Amino acid sequence: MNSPRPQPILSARGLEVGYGPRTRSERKLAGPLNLSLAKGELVCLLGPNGAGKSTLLKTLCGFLPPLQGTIEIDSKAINHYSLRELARVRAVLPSREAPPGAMTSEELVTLGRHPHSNWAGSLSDQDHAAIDAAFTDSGSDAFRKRPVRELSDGERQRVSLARLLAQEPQLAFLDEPSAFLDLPSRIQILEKLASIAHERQIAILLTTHDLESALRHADRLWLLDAHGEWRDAPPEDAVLRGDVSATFSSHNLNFDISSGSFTPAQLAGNPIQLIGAEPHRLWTARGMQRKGWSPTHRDGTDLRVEIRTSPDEKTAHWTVFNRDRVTAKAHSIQELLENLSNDSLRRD
Amino acid sequence: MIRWGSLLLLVALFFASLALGSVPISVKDVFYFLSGQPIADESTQLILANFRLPRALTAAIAGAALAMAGLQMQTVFRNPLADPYILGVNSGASLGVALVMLLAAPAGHGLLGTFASGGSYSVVLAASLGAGVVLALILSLTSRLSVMTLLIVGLMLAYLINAAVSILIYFAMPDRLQAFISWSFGQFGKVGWNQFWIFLPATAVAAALGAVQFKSMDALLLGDDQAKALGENTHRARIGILTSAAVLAGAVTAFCGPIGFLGVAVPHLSRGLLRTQSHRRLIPLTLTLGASLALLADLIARLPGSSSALPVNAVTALIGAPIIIWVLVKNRSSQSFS
Repeated sequence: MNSPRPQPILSARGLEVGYGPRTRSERKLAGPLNLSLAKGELVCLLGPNGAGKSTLLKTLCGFLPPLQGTIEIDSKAINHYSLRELARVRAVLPSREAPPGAMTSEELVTLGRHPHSNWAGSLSDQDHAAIDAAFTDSGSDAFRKRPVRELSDGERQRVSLARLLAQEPQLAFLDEPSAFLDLPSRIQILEKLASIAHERQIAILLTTHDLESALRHADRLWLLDAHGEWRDAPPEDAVLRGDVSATFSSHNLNFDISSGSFTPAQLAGNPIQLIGAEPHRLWTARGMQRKGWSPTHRDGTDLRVEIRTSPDEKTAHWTVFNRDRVTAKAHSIQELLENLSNDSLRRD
Repeated sequence: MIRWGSLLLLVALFFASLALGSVPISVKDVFYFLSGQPIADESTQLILANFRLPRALTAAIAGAALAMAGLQMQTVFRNPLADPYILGVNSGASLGVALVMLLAAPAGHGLLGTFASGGSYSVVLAASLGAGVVLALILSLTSRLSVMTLLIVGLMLAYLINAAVSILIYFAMPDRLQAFISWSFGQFGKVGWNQFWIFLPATAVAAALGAVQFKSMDALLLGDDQAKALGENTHRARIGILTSAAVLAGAVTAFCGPIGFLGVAVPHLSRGLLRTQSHRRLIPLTLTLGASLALLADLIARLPGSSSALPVNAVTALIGAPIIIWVLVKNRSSQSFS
């Protein structure tokens, strides 16, 4: 389906994932899948809850045995690796790493050298260099000496990222790295991960519910829907081909291809023509939809709203027409919506 | 600095516990005694050689062992309240001792004389067996259960065994009961040289087995999955650490009775003082602080001057609890797990 990529660091053939392999309670969630990860790419695994994202991730990490199929890391079957060998090539970050609160960032990041250091855990120059680079690349140098308890969720996640980088993996798995973050940190962490993947030439696979950031930063999307259906494509193709909408399809949510975001499915609202320049038109339309209107570009409706925007786009005013007769004027969307909800204008 | 300070404290307390007691001995004599030079007064020599020295050594080793075991349990279970006895090892020891003290003697085994001494071989043997059975049971379960389930199973096991002990106590004859209760208060003074040479190697080997695993313990702080992701063989590490901790706790219980508090408190004290979670640094301080606090507790227990001592268990909590509260309140960073 995709053009061959150089150097797959991870590849799986005929992979079936689920729980309870070879027992009576075996439950398959997805598969058979053929998939691969190349060095230097950021792949986001998306799908509705319960589709098996975490199970697939755990299986690829080596935490769960696959029901069927093989997983190879660097052309060697994953079950031929010892735990320590595996830890030198792949690192894992759970959605919330839980170090003791009094542990300092530096102690946590130093744990990333665990698979590399000798039995005494003494750090070589190479270890120190890896730790320093990890702090720099994750942007967490400033809180190196602080106990993790004192860090915000965003700072904590960056320190955990440093821990992962200190491990110097060729392959990194992150389970919902943005789950506990506020919006700016959520965008930053994906941006950071993308640049890390490209600069360090490591493969990063993460699960996320943050579709917008994934669309922006991922090199590829892996989409797993509730029926175990698998789709693999760069984000742009996935959107235009309808893969994203198909994966998240449900009766009350639509994926809007033009805005790249989800909208509640159009309930058959009252049609209304809406004319005006962006961005005001977009936000007016959203407000209208919330109130049960179906704004459209076409005419042929009794009601029409025109937006006039000042040249500097700072102010705007809205005019409501009923059969070309001005019935109301508004200077904010709130005022407009109040006018529209006036019973005399509604025809239902 | 903290490290040297704690060593100095240990040495000072060791000297003090040789010098102080119902018969005060001068520091000069203690020094002569320790350096192997003859002391003018033969009875002083006798007291030091046969009573004070084994007692001080026993206290120091028991304290270090319990503190180490506490640190191990708190790390493996990632729980600040874990103590050396959390897996029911000392309950097993108690049951062994209760069986011997409360049941065997009335059944007519005629070992009355040995039981009265409390620290006799039969008691040590019974306690070791009891602790060993529980340890074996727990270890056989570690591969099948998660850490949290293991913790609960250990707790339930302890309740179960304690119930059996209660029943034995209920039906016990008053004089046997007195001996059992005095054992359960804990004492460092009942370990003679012969027993000491069993106690020392048992604890030393267990402590060494535990200490070399400091790197694994660091990884376990992140939880089972993350430790595994970091390349740690968590199953093997857990068995090694738990075995070490259980042997340490079991040995102390067998020889000195179930001594509480030190095991849970000292690890917090060392984390608070060092402000670190690195076990390479925590273990030495935990050992020395544990030894020091046990010596201090024993000193205070003997302080009243009479020949009989206060229960060590009461003293460890009386002096230890305020120290811990002070450290926790003064220094927020000693809240280690949160």
